[in-house]
Parts: sequence; C-alpha cells; structure tokens
Amino acid sequence: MDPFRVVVADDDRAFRGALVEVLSDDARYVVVGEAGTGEELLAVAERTRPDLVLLDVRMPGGGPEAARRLTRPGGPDAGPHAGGSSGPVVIAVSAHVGASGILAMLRAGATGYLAKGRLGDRLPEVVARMLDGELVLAAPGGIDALRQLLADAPAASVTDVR
Amino acid sequence: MAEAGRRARTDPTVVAILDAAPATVIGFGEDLLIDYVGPRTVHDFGYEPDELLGRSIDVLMHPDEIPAHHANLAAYFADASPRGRGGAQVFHGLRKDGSTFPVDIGLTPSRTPDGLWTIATIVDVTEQLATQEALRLLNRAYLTLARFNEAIVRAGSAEELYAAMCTVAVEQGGYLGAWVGRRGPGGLVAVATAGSLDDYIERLEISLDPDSPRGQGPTGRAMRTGEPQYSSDYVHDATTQPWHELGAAHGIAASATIPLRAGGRVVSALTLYSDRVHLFDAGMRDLLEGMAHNISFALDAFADRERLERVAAQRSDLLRRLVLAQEEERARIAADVHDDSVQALAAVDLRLGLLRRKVHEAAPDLEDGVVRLQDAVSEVTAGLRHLLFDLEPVASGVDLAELLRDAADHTFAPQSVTWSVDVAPGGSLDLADEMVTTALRIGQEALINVRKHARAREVRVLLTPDDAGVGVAVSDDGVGLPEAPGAGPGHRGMATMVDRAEAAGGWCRVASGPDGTTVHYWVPRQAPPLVVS
Repeated sequence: MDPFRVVVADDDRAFRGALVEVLSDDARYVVVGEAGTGEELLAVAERTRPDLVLLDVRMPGGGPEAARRLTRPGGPDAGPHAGGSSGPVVIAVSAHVGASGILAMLRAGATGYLAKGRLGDRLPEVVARMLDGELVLAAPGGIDALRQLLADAPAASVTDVR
Repeated sequence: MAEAGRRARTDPTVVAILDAAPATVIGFGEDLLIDYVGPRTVHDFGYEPDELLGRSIDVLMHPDEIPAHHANLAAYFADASPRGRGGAQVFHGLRKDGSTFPVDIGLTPSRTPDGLWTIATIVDVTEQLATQEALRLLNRAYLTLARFNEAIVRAGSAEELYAAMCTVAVEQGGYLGAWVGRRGPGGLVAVATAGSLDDYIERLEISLDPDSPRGQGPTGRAMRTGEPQYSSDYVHDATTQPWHELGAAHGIAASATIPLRAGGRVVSALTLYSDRVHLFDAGMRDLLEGMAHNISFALDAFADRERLERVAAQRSDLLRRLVLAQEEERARIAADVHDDSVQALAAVDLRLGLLRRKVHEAAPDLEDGVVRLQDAVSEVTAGLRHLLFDLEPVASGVDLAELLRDAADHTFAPQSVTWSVDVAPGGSLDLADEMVTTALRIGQEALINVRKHARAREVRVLLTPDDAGVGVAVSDDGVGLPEAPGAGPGHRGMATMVDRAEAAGGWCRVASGPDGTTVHYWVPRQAPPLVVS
C-alpha cells in the first residue's frame, strides 16, 4: 500500500521539524509538504493533495479558519486514502488543551486533536488510528468538548440504531 | 329738599350716634344732595360740613368713578337694603385739594315719610390696602422661595440652578427680570437671565474694578464684599447712576443683588429687578438672604458631586487600565510560554519518542533512561499547560460562576479533588467586565493555591451576590497555611489577591486553620465612587 500523504503545518520550525522527522521515520507516512501559515497550507494542500493535515491551532491563519477551508466542499482535493472529494483528514495540534479550543476545531471540520507535549512515541500509531476513522481527542479537555458538542446538537439528529 | 336730613339732624340722638362714628359719615336723600356731614369728614376729605351741605355727593367721588357710583346707587335705591362695606370694588374718594384715596363705602337706608334717606359710611382704606399688598407680596415671596428651593433640589448643575432661579424669580416672584452674573474675563458675565430685561442686562457692562464707576454699582459691591446690596429706589440711587437712563427706560424701580458662594468664595451674584420702589423691606431681605444661603449650599454640593464624579471616573478608568494592563501582560507571558517553552518541549517530546523507538531496537538497555526523560518532559509540559490555562484571557459574556467552574475544572482535573461552585440565591452576577476579570483572577489564584499547597480532598466555592457586588468564598479542607504569615509558599499569591481586591474597591480576607483555608473576597459591581483609603 502507498504511504499516507501528510502535510505538516506549524509556524514553530523546531516542532514542525520534529513532527516531520517522526512521521518520515515511519514507513506508513510520507510527508509531502510543510507550511508555516494558513495561506501556505492551502497552497501546499492544493498542490500535493494530502490524505492528512496536521494543523497547528495557533499559527497565523491556522486553527478553525484553515480547518474550515481545507474541509469545505470545493476545497483542495484529498489523496486517495482520505476518501476523495471530502478533503484531507484534518488533525488539530495544539499546546492548548481547553474544551473551547477543541470544540472550535471539531466544529470547523477537524476529526482529531493532539495536545503538544503528550505524544511521546505514540504519534505514528495515534495518527494511523485517526486515518482509520477513529476519533481521537488526545487532550485533557476532550471529554468536555464532546459533552458540550452533544448538548448543543439537537436530539432529533440522533439516529435510532436498533 | 333735604327735609329728612334736616329732621335727622334735629334729632339729637341720631346726630349723637352719627357724630360718634370713627369714619366719614354723609347723609343724603334720593336726590343725592348731602344733608348731613359727619365730623370726621374734614379729616378725610378736607371739607367743612358747611362746604358740603346741599351739594351732590358726586363732589366726593373720583370723577372717573362717578358713572359706576350712579349705577350702584340705582340698584341700591331699587331694593333699598343696606350695602355693607368690604365690597369687591375699591372706589376712590376725592379730597377738597383734588387728591384721591382708596375708600370703602357702606350704605344704610332709612325710610322716612319723605322717601329714602341714606347714610353713607366712608372709610379710608389706604393703610388696609397697603397692608394687604404687603401681605400679598410676602406671600408671593414665600411661594417664590418655595419654588427656589424646589429648583435647588432638582437642579443637577450650577448652570441649571442659575437658569431655574431666574425663571422662578420672574414667573413666580413677579420680578421684571433676573440674572445671574459670574466672574469672567473682563468683568461679570451673565450666565442666566429671565424676564423682559434681556436688552438691559446685555448692556449693563458691569465691572469688578472698584475704581470704575461701573464697578461701584450694587453688583460690583456684592461681588467684592459678599454682602447683599439693595437699591430701594433705583433711578435715584447715586451708586446706580451709570445705569439710571437704561433702568428708567425699562421701568426698573428697585433692585436686589445677592452674592452667591461656593467653597466660601463669592462666585456669582443673583440680581432681581422690581417695578416697585422700596420692595425689598426687612421681610423680603430675610427671605432672599436665606435663599442665597440655600443656593450657596447647593453650589457647594454641585462642586462636591463634580469632584466626586471626577474622582470616580478617574478611579474607574485607572482600574480598567490596570486590569487591562495585567491582562495584556498575562497574554504576553502566555504567548511566550506557548511559543518558546511548550513548543520546544513538544519538539523534544516527539524526538524522544523517535529516539525511544530506535533505542528499543538498537540498545534496549538504554530505553528505560529515555522513558524517564520522556516522563520528565511530560511533567514540565503539564505544568506549563496549567500556566497557559491560568493565563488565558477571560471569555466575554460568560458569568463569573461559569468562569470559576471552568477554572476549578481545569485546576483540579488530573487530581482527585472534589469541587463545587454554587451561587447563593437572591441576586444577579452582573458585574462590569473589569470586575469579572478581577473576581476570576482572585478565585483562580485561590484555587491554584489549593492545588499546590493545601492537599485538600474537597473545595467549595460559594458566590454570594448582594446589591452592591458579589462575594466569593473559596474553602478547602486541606492542611491550612503555615503559621508565620509570609513564610508560606502561597504568601505572594495571598498578597496579590488582597491587592487585586482592594484596587477594585473590594476586599479579600484569608482565614486558615488545621481544618483548612477559606479565601473570602468581595468586589463591587462597578468601580466604586470613592477612593477607598
């Protein structure tokens, strides 16, 4: 199987470099692009059609705004692994772990949240599970964010699963 | 003719009674010819009895009023019943010397075989009317004073009060005009006027220079001496000489100038103009001076209020700026922590993860050391993350209880501490933004102290809103503070909490014992109106 195509977006070069290095070391991933701003990210994503974007929440033009632009219809096409026209899988990466920040990213289309500094050697596995469709909110505020999201969602939208 | 009169006069009893009357008594028949003249007539009218007997009563009437008299008499003869004195109409008697005076007339009919004989009692009411007029003026003065006091109570500023005073003086007091002058560049500046004297007041050109004739008038003197100045007869008063012509043209007969004080200094003068000479008698002067005292009192109150408002505004502004500056500083520190420390540690964390994989394969005996390094990095990162949350800007539009819940949730999340945040019933949590920030930051500090030092199992936060503000008590069941104040690690935090509360016009107290610690603080809803020393 072809490796997952990954774009890493973070304005902190040291952290971005570490992310790139860790993922490149794993045969499951190929880093096809890097970006330090939201604009760069959009351009890189257009060009490289990644399966996955690791998106820093606080970089200039990043966060919810960039997530929305990546995942909206008519946004950049995704690689073959991400399910075609639905855009790349967006995973938020941030040093901030409060529920409100997580919630904002989920609403903007991110399907995962990773807290910086807590990943250790688990990053490649966690990312693989996210690409597999699992929801991973690897941050202390994750549960609260989910609860809030459910509380805000209208009851009618809950599907009967019998 | 005059048969009845002559008969009456010859009757000694009737004559004796009539002669004893304390007023002018005149007898006449239906032909209006006088046939009896009482002894007081000469005093009131200047005529000896012989000069009047046989003449028409018209001779004693003010010529303008003769038709009215005749109409009255016609009605009187028609029903021939007594007409008492004290009628609504005031007539005037005509003296022999041509002068007139107000009179009150009573008519008493007496039927005789020769027809109706009438005794007219004529009383000089000059003094009575003067007394009535004085009473009326005094009444009006009292009413004016009452309106002045109303204006004093209602006015919100000196300018408003000056304008209201002038209006009241003219509308209630019946003065021709009123104005208030205040010290200004080049003399006295009219800051409020009322009445029909605007043209006059505009052309006053009053100086405050004692050497100038225009500085020696009542206003100049009042401003200099602080004493009220009255000009009883304006157009004949030597000190008002520069304004005689102008004043006379406007019908000014008397004036009163009352100095007004603020902070003990004469700051302005109220001048009232009347069309009556000698209006300002002792009673009126007392009223006016009492009123001036009230006005000065109000001016002081305005000045106090203004000072108070200025201080309050300054204080609120300072507090807002202080809170804003603190928040900006926090944001800057948060950004630094995020950009430098957390990012760097996160990169280290990732690289250690990578290293661990490699070590795992190549040199398994070294793996344990890498894991310990990873743990150390995680711990530091977790500490920094707490700091980042603590430094986060205060969310707007969220009430204090919700913000404190977030703070408690975050502060105690990884620990097995039970916490609660409750609001006592009976008040709203509406606070000015800077007060929300202040109250949250103090509460956060208290919660962090509990996490760091108290070793508590339970923390309770109770918010108690009252009319003026919100009280917050943060209580834990931990080990309490160290004995010596200032020795404990939380000491600086305590001082910060107290400083924050006091800067906001509130207070903060810390009570600690072996059963735990309570931080109790209170902040006002708005920045307080007074500097709390």
